[in-house]
Amino acid sequence: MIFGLTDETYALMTSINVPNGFNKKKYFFFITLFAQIYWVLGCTIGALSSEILSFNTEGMEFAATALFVVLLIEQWIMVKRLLPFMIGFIASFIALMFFIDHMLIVAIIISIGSILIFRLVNKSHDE
Amino acid sequence: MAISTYLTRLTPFLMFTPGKENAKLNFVAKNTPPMVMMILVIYMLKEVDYLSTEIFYTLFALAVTVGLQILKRNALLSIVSGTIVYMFFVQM
Repeated sequence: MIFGLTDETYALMTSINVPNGFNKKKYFFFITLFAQIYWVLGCTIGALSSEILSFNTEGMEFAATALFVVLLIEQWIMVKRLLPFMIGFIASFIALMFFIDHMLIVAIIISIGSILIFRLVNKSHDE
Repeated sequence: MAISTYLTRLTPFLMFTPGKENAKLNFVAKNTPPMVMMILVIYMLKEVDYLSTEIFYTLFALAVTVGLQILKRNALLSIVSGTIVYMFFVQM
């Protein structure tokens, strides 16, 4: 289960609701398992069929962009608060400006850091 | 390689024993997905050449994806349609 955790699996687990009557742990386990099986199957079929079948796949990488855009919309529908989206947006641009080669990790560190600061500030307001 | 993969993934499981709810961690967990999705979308779009025609069909394909997702809420439909639009323009 730990080995099987991929970014796609994470994206699924954070955006779907476990249907009633299902064991949450089992449900997540099977998502992980099937994601891994599809991955291996897809790679195998692709490798085997690549010699027979060939068509122009240029531009297909857009599928990943589209997937993340779809998940972003789903997150918006679920969360509906501007703050985390704004933080992600600003953190990305800071990371792009200064650390373009390690943009992902820097952006994630900045955003988690700032959301924690926001939480601290809000807490001290309450007191 | 396998050891380091295993270690980085095992650490959080050891640090936070299941069942014990950590308020700070819950807060981070609730806010991370929207932040990360935002970052990933920008990450995927940073390679786009903004001074060529690429920007037009990228935006068009994005609009198709976003529009379909909002109207139909069908992830597969939105992704496949957007990708087909993008591939059509790239290969033209």
